[in-house]
Amino acid sequence: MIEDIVKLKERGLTLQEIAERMNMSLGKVQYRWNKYRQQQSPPEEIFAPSQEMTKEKWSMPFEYKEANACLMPRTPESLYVYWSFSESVKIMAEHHFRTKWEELPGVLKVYDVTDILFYGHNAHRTFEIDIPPMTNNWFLHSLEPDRTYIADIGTRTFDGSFFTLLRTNPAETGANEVNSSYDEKIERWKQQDISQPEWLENFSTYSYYQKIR
Amino acid sequence: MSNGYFALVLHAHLPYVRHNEANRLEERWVFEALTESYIPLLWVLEEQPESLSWTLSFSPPLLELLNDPVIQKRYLEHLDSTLRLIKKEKSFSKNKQEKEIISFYEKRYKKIMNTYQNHDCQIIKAFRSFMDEGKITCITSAATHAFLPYVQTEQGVKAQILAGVNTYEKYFGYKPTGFWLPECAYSPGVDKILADAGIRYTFVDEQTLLKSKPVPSKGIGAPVYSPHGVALFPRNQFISETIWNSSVGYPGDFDYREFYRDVAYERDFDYIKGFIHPDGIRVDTSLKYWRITGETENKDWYNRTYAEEKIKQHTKDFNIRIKDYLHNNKQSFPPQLITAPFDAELFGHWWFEGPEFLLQSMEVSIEQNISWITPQEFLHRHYQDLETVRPGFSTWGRNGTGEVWLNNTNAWMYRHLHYCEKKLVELAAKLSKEKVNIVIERYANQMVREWMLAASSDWAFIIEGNSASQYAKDRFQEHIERFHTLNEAIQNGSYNVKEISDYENEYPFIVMELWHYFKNQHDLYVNMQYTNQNQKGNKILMLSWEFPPMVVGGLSRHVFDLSRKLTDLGHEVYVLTSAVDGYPDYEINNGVHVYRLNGKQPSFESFFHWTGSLNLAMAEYAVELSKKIKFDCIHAHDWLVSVAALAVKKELEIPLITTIHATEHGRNNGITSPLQYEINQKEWELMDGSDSLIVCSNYMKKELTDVFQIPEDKISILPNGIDPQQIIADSNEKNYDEKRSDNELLLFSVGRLVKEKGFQTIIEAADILRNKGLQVKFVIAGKGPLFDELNEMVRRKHLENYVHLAGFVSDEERNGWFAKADAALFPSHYEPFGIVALEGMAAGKLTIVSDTGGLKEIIEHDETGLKVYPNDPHSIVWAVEYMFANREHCKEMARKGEETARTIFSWNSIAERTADLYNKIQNNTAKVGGMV
Repeated sequence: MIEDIVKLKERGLTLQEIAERMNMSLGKVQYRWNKYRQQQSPPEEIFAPSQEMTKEKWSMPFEYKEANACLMPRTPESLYVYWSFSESVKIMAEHHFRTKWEELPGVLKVYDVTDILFYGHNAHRTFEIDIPPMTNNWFLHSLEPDRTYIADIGTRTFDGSFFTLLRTNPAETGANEVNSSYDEKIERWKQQDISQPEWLENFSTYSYYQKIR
Repeated sequence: MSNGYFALVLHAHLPYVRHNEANRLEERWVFEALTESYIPLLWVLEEQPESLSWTLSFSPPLLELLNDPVIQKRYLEHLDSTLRLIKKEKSFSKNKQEKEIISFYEKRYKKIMNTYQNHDCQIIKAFRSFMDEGKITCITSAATHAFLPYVQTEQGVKAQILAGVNTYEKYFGYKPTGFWLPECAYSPGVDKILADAGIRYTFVDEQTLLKSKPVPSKGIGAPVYSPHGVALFPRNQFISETIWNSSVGYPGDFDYREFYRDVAYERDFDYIKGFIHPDGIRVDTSLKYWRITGETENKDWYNRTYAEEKIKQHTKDFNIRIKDYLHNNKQSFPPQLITAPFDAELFGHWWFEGPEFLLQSMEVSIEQNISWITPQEFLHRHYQDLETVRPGFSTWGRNGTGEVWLNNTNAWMYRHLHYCEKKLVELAAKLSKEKVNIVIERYANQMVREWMLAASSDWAFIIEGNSASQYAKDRFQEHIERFHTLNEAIQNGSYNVKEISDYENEYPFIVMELWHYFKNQHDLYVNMQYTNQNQKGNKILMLSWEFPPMVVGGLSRHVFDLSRKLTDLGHEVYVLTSAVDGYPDYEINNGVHVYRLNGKQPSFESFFHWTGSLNLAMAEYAVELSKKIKFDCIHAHDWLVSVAALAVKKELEIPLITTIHATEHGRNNGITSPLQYEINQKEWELMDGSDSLIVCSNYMKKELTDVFQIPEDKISILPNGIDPQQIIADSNEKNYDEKRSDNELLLFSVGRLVKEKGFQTIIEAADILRNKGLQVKFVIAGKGPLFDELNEMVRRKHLENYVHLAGFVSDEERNGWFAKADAALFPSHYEPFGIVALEGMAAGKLTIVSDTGGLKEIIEHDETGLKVYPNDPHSIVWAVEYMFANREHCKEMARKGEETARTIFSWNSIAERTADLYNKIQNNTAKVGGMV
């Protein structure tokens, strides 16, 4: 059978045409043809190996040099926060406090901002965590379920006040228990009393020129 | 008639494991899944009763893998090799039972080979034909099975969902109405993007519904609508765990085939080496001859008769459970629905007998009158009968939470993925400006592909589970690095067709337009707005902590006047200042762009740290603005913006010009407190870090050179300006000027009530004048910390009829006072410039100032005004007596003073000189750059 396929192939027919001519499925013809070719020549790569890269390879860093803090949902009692500083923020902190970056204490401040428009001072509750040097992420445990949190990464002033350097997006701890059978927010939403949902939707409509009007 | 419905949903997915390099171990995942699950599922469909239908999801990576000619060819070779091994095994085996199993496999593998070839290796086409027959409904999932709640941007989620939908369309010819959420991971907002993509239903865990707000009245007995109108079908744990649960489920039965025992590990190396990995690594051959047997290492032979008997039993049991559940959980309307979703590979691959179980379950269901339904059909019948609730973030993983995909082992991955997303949004914003080079477009699409391939939920899952974790880590890192290598090629212009072709060939995954998903409406708008930018003038970033309507000292007015005059001259001025309640955070005021910012702690108790917080916000904003506005220079005002000014200069690499309006040293006549010391430091750092300094007087220049050792040639003297329009009293204002007699004088002073303004000297002078019996009234307007003290002084000396503390006055009131007064009096001890003196002159009044600081440079004594000694009440007394004695001469001096104020100190000329300075500094710094 393979001899017939080879003959037809040499006459320039496509495998599809050969399959029709020989009343076989294309799959069978492909299989026979590939097998034949394999026997004919030593195995070779389908694509030529790519040429030696002359360029310096970009390698994945430990973190990026951007001022960024991100809070991620996880469980009803825990959230995850990661962050990184830009050179600029480090320099400004050093400048403002006239203290070396490495000597500034690292502090994480967590705000419960459930159902409020947070502007920096109006959280329901807050707590602070001293973080070890060289830390760039933290798992927040023992949080209250069904609340919205924001975290600040900052430092402490000489008189003990917390000073914010970075602020995360808000994130929610999920419900741990069965809720009630009535929910005001969904009712208002269903009645179309509001144009935007009154709950947190997870994704940021990030735009590059965010602050340019 | 049955009491409800049963819906079976299988989700087929593998990560994209195609490599150009042959014999990668992970490629075998595809072969094993084909051999044990996907092809046997086709057999199920061939024999499946017509009246039944179920749902099958194919993830886009799997669609791509199964349609890849390289994979297809390699799978045929793999089958071929297995058949050769079976032949070898047949002659090798001496044992009767073993021979039976081998011949079972021989028959089976021939059938697999036949099925595969009969469908032309096009497995997806085969499933599609069964879909056309109505035996299944096929749906799809996210482009690379990303864990959607952990995608950061809406654009990223959109890309994952729409690219998935479009890949499905490529193979099935139309768009899907159902969607498999990877890991059943739902979070608020996902549903909006699904709805926008035309998706009508998806699947979640039963806990997702039970913890929703409000709790659905039917519990998990019916699907619900999410807020954006996507139907969510909940997994019924009770029914589905009979299959997936490894301890209580059917697949663990001792008579079923043992997964973990394979011929590959049983034979001598020399015997088996042609059938395992070429490097000699033993890998499963899929020939597994043993049954689970029990909790023992001594496994019995696999016996088909036993296994088939168990399939029969389990099938019956499963149907009884369904029937009982429907009976016990009857509900009126819509009827109870059991949704049972599983990984497709569970059937056949993990549970070898699974596909047979499915087929027989269908047959039993028909006998037992159990109605199978697809979610699609269910919605068709009951779309009006569903409630709307809002579920929270949840998954079908451990505890229904995100902990499997986000824990100590894999949390490090997300910053990289999020960073890629942001870079893609940035790239899309930049590309959507103009017509894009076709090669760059290929780079951008490939970057999206690399991000997608890295974002696959499989990597985090595998790394968490510790199996094959090196491969997962390597793949993740590889895609992140490829992403950035491509990005750099675009950024540095080294992009070329050869390179991008290599990248595309290496991962020929969903070949379609992808970067558009990362566009953002706002970015498109900004691009449109900023196409025709004014090129002629300078773009100046002005940093000032105060700006009208916030007026604490003279700084605010100064920055406002300078900015609008610069704008009149054709420059663009962008002022960053602090927020004021009730005022817009952005406005164009007299052509000046004003951004009013809040720090992250706008109510910081310490003023010093409040400024620190504001500075961080200013610097961040300035850098954001610079993405579109190419600033030529920064113009900062006083130490309060020092931190931001220096940081922005460094980041944007543009010159910094600073106006020093006053210094802490001068204000306090030395540095004594720690806070003064900190401020003094900030001042010095700002002066030192600026390219050029502006002061308003010789006096201030001397202070900078003497106190701060600033080189003279770095300092320019530009006086403050005055806008006479601002001083003209409103003639309509009610004139409460009670007629004064000729021998009574009114002297007006205005300024912050602080020590260095010398207002206490006025009170002392008033005391002396009263005692001399002269009719003089002093009005002091302004507020400040000294108000109470001054008031007390007036009261104690019983000077209420001679000195009036007017408190804060509006501009209009101030102008009214100027108009009424006979003279303006400014007896400051320290005054770097003294804009108020100019105001007095511009108002056409005789102006009396201390012979100190900048004041003495404004006025020429006895020509354009009078000078008095600072801190000397007798000197003020002298000036008053001089006024009584020389009325005509005083009028003449007032006229000359007015002329000086309106010409030499006009803002027009000062703004021009400031602009000249900008140009000079820019040229200087440019020259330096050119030489380096």
